[in-house]
Amino acid sequence: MKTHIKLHPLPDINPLRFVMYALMILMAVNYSCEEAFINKDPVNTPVNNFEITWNTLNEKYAYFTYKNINWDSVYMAYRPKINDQMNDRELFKVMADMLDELHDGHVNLTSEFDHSRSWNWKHNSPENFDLSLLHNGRYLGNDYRITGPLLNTVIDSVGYIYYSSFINDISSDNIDFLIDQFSDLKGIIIDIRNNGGGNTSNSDLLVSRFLDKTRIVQYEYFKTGPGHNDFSNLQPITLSPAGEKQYKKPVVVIINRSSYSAATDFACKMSVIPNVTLIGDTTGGGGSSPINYELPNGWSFRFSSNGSTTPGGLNLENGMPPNIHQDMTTNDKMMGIDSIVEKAIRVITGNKRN
Amino acid sequence: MQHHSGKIIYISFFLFISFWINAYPQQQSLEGIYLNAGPGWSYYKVRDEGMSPLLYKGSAGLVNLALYDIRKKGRHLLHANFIYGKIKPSIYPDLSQSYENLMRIDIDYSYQRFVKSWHSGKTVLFIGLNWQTFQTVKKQAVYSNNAFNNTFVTSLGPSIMVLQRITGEKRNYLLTFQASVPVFALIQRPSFAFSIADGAYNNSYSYFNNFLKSLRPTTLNHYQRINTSLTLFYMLKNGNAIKLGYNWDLYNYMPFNHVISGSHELVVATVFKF
Repeated sequence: MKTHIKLHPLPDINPLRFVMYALMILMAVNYSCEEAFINKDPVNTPVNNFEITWNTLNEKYAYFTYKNINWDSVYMAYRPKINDQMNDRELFKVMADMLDELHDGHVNLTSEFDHSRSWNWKHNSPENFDLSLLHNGRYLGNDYRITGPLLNTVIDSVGYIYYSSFINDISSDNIDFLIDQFSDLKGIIIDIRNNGGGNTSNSDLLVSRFLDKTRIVQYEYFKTGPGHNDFSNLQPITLSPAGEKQYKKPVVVIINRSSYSAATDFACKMSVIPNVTLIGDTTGGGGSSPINYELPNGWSFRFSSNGSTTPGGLNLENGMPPNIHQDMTTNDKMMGIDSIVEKAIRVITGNKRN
Repeated sequence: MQHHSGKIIYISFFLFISFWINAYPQQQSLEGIYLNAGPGWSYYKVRDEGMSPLLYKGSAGLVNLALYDIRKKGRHLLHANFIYGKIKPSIYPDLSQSYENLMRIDIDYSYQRFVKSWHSGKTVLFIGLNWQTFQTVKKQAVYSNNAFNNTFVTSLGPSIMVLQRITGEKRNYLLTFQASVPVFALIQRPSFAFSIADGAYNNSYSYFNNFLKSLRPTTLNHYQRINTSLTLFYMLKNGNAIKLGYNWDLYNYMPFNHVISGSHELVVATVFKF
């Protein structure tokens, strides 16, 4: 038996009024559907903010296994300190202390009143840097150039560049100028001591001017799931020579324990170039490109969700070691001598300065 | 004056969006090619757990472009939507500088086939297939390495449309209601804990190569979307039309870093017949 669908004609009403009613009904239905499917925001309580932080790190932090950290034990130790009656400063203190258990300079908690940081990875390490010493007449002196963010001069037929932070952008023009200025010298020193990192695109721009050919300069790996060992395969990072001129003479990169993050990245990438030597102390590490996440109370936190290694497989989280270890000696400092710069000059020229 | 001002208020209030326009003046044939262009407004909300546990909401400007090929038994409908705006979390709008710049591009193609009509053609039913593609780019103002979040979806599914002619005191209108539900999709989303697309980690491959590698096929079990539109057309004597449309879109994608998004859009556009 056939069934016919019969549509009754519309009632005889003002058409625009009909459309208005239809629209209002449709909007109400749609809004109700959204409310049903889109959950409410997580509650803004100290306990919930703590739980979101701990859980997000539990799923997405990259170094639990590498650093042998029992994150469940950290929860057991810190969760009892949290209650919904505590104020913001008390909550911040407890959460900052918990994040400090990761011993990671890329892990920070940011509120409207404070920014947590973890520097314990460079405790008990010699500083190996004295900016006032660099500014004496033996090195930069008073007549150095400032090319973009790069302080530079010539020391005994060796070009010397100090780059204080990869946050400060360099341009191709900056590098073109310096390569041109130093082209007749015996070599270049690039000093990145106490460079806390910044934008890795500045690192890549600089590295590409010293590369002799396309090379794999690093490997990266990424969290792919919530398990502590859920990672992607190692992904090669390649860089190619770029710019008008490549610098092919000897290069020394000076590093210390306060060379962190993008500075570690730069040191690693430069180390694959045959005419480059790293001198100084192992960098501070920071082998990740940290990501951010936010909390219901308006705070945000940053953490490492990926890692990187040298082409040879050394994990960069604990730093890039130098080819030649050299500390600043106390005697040299007292005589106004930077032992590491002197070593770099000796490596390039083959001669010891007076 | 009071009577006319009421009509003006109604027309101003009812800004409808139509992505599948069918213009039917009472006497003349509607077959032909139409070009549609107009501005609009979108109210957008999204929770993307890959970026934040919070629901972001806000208004956005919109530009709607469309091309329609209307035939007796079927119609080809192609439209594009460009949206740009700023969305903020509602939970602490005064405490933080956090906001996201939102850009979205929609390109949809639909083929609608005549099925049945009633009441001497005043009520018409169409059924068809809808190929929907959109890309959303969000930039979080206070984030660093994962500031950008890129979502790309291309999907295929059935759609249904009901067209109703409405006779007014002095004007004739056309009202359409359309709904579509994709059943199969290819989706590119950021990876589990980074903004790089899932599967596109290797920078030695070309962008297009990485794009293809990062597309994930999915069906209704992981991706649900519904799109409805209510459109009012006011036909002009020269065959052109003014269209006022309301569109609602809701999508939900679950595998990891759950994202759910809803938007209400209002558009006023001019339809030109060629």
